[in-house]
Amino acid sequence: MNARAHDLGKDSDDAIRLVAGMLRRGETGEALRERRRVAIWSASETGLHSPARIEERGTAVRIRRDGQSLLIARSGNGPEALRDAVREAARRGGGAPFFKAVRRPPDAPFTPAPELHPESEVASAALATALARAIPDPRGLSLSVQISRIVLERAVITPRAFLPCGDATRLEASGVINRPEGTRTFAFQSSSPFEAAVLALTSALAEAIRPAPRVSPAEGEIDVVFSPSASAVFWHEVVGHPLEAAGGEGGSVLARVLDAAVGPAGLDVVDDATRADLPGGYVVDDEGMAARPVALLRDGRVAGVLTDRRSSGRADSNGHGRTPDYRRPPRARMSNLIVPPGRSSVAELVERCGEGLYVTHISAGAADPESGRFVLFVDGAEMIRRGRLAAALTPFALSGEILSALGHVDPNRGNQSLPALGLSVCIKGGDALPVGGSAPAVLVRKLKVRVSKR
Amino acid sequence: MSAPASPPDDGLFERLVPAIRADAMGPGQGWELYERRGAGLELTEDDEGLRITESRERGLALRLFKAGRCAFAAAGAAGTHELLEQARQMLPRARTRRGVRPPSLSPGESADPHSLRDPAPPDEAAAFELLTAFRRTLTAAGGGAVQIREASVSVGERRDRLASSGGRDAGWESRAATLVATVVGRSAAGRYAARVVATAARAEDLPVARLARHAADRVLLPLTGRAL
Repeated sequence: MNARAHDLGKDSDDAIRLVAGMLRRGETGEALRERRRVAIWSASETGLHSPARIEERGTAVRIRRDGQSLLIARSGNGPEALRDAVREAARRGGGAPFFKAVRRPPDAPFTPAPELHPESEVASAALATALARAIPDPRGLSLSVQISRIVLERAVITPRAFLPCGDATRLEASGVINRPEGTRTFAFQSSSPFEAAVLALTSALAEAIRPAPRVSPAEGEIDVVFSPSASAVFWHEVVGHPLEAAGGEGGSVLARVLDAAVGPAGLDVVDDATRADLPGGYVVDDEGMAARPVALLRDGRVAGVLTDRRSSGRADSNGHGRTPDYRRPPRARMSNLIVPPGRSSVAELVERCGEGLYVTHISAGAADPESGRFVLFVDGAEMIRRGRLAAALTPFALSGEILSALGHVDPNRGNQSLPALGLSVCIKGGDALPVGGSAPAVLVRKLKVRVSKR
Repeated sequence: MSAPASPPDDGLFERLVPAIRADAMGPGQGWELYERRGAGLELTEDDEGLRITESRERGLALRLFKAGRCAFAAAGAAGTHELLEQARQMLPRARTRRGVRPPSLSPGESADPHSLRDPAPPDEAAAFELLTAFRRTLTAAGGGAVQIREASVSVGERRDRLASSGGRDAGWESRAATLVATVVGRSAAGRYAARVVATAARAEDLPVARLARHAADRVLLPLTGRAL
């Protein structure tokens, strides 16, 4: 991720003047420019198929006043799209834009474009090789996975400055893997450099096509050790979502008890958008606020809430206004949830658990911050018997109540905080955003197992 | 609000076709060009106030076919000049499959060129009326114990055109309206939130009253004690 913002800022001075002239006394607002390039490959067990390339450019202007907000979105990220959006916003707001209407510039001639993505040939070859390595023997296997490489450039134009949000590149893969014994979903995301991301994808695919186990866990209350990757999903659902500002201070079970001790002493959970090595990182949020780490739990106590400009009230936003798309209004959302490591090894946590489950992969999760319930859909787990790992288990669901689960987190945590590979796109209110996480293994007691009916 | 007049078609589609045709005229080659224009409006009401989101967009997509291979590229109107080159670059990397060719004229379909115009802006007053009706019905159905956390009504229209080297030139219009609401209720069983969604082709077809009653039931009835 870097902050070059390419052609988004060619007319930055004019753009700032336009945005400043659009706003009247008592109004705040900004403009967002976006360029999204997506290269997509559909993949099956036999290799890569039809490639596709999509490029989308858009501009949005936003005006806020007394809790009301207006967003005008237009295709294109050039000066004309910004003028058109500002003109419409000013018309709706009852004001008159200060600029004169300009004639539309002629369209670019249909001349062959220069080599647009010189790396794409290499990318295709690398992905085809990765697929062949991950699936050396496709017999008995059916795979339908879409692999996407997404490059997103954004810039926010405030009345005072042109702020590049940073270029973010990530590799995503999602789909289903069918075997005679059952179907499993596959999700992967990495914002590492392409070569490292492809290597990680190879490992994830190879792991995903392993034969599915046949042993189901017993339903009921049980102690669970989450691997570092699975633990990041647990914290995302149990701490992250309840502390995204929505619905006022009483909007979630954790937001209602600010400063209360809800977890073990020494437990810190931080949302850190400045971690550029994780998929949720950015330089400036989609409302022009600089990214900064925000402590959600400090020493086991609820320490803060993630806010955007709208939900922060009179205080400043803490840089978490995020939007999946220039057409959508920003909301307070998580970026990268970080839990620092402890001192125990995974083996020590498993031994401490005694009888329970060791969860390695969570395919999806959901939380209802209002009631405090959450559920995690587990795709990869092993039984723990007498402090040792035993049989692999079929998919199941783990559920619990947020305050109760935090109260049952063991104070000992794993000694390595690792990025979560399975944590990819988070959907809230229909808005899908890339998120990341890094957490150590953790032992949580008294969660409920339900055998998945999916 | 008076709807601005729809601007005339700028002929971008027509100007792109000869360039593609000149490129994909060999034996076993073909193309399919697609354009979409859309206009949408979303009104969202939450604890902090009202949000209005208005969008207009236009995009084009091209599929090139050559000897059983097919490549796809899409871009907004500003990126049209790169479309052909992008699809051309990807074509050699596509896998060969049997029967891959551009769609031809369907029976009963005419090949008359369809010129596209921007859709008219959606009716904001009607959308706001839907939101008000939902809030009113929800308050009545929940006996005052159910509140809206967030409710949004989206209405939109899009116009599409598709032409191919197989002789097809078709255009069509479609509309959609969506109501999405998150409501919160307090009952003896605790506090629960529920999200309800309805979609219809026209805003007036949205089952607003039924959705409001359903939302109230989801958060109040004891049977819905399990929130997830």
